[in-house]
Amino acid sequence: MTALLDISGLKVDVPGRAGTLHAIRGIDLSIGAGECFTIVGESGCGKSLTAMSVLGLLPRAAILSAERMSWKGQDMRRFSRRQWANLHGPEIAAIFQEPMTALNPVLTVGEQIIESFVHHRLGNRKAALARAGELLERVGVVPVERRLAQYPHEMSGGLRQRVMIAMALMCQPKLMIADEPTTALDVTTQVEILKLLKELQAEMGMALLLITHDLGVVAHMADRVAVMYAGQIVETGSVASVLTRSAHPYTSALLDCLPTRDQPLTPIPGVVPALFGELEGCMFRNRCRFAREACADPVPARSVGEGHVYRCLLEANEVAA
Amino acid sequence: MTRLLDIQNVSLAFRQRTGLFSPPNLIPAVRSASLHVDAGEVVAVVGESGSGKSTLAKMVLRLLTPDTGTIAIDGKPAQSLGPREFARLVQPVFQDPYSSINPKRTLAEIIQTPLKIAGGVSARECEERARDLFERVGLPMRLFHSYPNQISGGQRQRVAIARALILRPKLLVCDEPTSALDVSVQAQILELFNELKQDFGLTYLFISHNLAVVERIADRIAVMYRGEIVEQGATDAFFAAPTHPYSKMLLSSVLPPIPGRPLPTVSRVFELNTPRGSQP
Repeated sequence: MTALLDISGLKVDVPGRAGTLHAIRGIDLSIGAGECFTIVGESGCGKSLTAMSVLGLLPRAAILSAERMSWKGQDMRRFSRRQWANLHGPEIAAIFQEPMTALNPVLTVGEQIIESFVHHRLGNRKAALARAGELLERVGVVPVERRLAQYPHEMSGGLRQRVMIAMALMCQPKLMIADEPTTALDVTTQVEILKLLKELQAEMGMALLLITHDLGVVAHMADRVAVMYAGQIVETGSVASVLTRSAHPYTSALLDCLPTRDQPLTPIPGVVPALFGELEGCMFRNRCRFAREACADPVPARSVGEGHVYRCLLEANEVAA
Repeated sequence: MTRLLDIQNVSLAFRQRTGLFSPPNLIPAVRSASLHVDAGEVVAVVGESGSGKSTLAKMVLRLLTPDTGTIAIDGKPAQSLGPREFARLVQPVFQDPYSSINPKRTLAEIIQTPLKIAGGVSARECEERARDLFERVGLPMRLFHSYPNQISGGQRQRVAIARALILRPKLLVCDEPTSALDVSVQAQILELFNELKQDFGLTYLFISHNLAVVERIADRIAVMYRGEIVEQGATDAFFAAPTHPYSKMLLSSVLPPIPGRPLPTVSRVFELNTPRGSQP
């Protein structure tokens, strides 16, 4: 299977007054057609910046470098503005956490939803409205006629996120990037939206890059998962393997701090490190109960097999023990 | 056991102006809710956005006045208590620690303010108590004179908790205190709530939309839906066998981190307006 998106050695630096922030420190990532890949991690781990890098929407101050960054074999590092613009919509589309801020409050939903379709000359206004109608119906924003004429503020958060999804689907993207799409929603609405994304993914053969901090969402959605910490992928592999046979202490610690009935809550002590200056070794070592001196040296990635890779000095079965 | 908080048949409707001369629309936010919290208990109110749970919390905090019904705190009607007396009994912890603490004051000032207003202690004792609490809620002393923008969200929430505790209140009203935080920080804060409950003999009214969170901390659970408390009961019994269809739906929406399971089926089609007393 050739990958749609193939990235290796991605780095993003953000220079600032306090020094250069090394927000993403060399990550590898590949997404195949039709697959659901999730990135999970805490605030500030670089998961959203990874999405922004793939979309070519990094803040102007950020400096991106990569050994390889390709979309269907084309080098994304050399994309012109026009090439990026051609990518957004028919190839890659995105939905974000807060559907209220992602929608334009002074345009009707109808105007916004057809914009990309008309822009990419996939058809005239009439064809665009017909497609918008179909998609809104599909995502459950009904009655379609009335909804098209409404403004975003006239809708609930769940409905707005459905509108965002319909909008992202207008040009039949090959990859949808969803950055915390359900974090601002109620738990019941979250389930509905996730279900919808999953169904649409299957119907349209679309790949999904889902970014979340919720391991419950990962478990129910992902084919493969990457756990990010301090700008690095510390563990990646199939969701079944990573969640049930976690090899990295951070993955296991994240699982332990989810409140469950039977087990006492085990918070991770300490805080996420600041990513300034020279960063050597495992960044989790000052919060890790397995830390030893050698953790301050660069830590190689190790494989457990079947694409399950982790970055730690421990043997794969030591964390669970 | 003493009944620390007693909410009886409380209702509140918001008025939406429709025009200059037309009568306002009434939007019922809370509809005759009754709930009590005994001393030393943790009672959680769960429900989705718009269910009225925060409105209920605001009425308990006297930030809103109920249209009808009564709220008694420590046996006295809440409205009869003076502001200082009230502050010594009830303190809030809000959801967003970025907006609930003053960015222009140092952490030391923020924590001491309630005690200074309450009066009756010397400046030195005030600072000593603030320092004790600062340490107790797990903040490093070197941050004592820092400003809020120098600390993380989890640390801000710890400051808000220290500020709430400096008057040694009996009841802490926590409105979604962990939903703005990362999971690892959420676990730290929940653990802190548990410890403080023991140390300070606290009672909590804990508002949340996340059943997984309240399961660990609550003794009793009340489920709100469309302004009504549709079910309440002991945590164990509730999780073992929820009775109201909405409670069941909430419970089935919790996604455990176990791969290989399908997403739960949530159906919103159930009878909402069943008359009181005839609910399944």
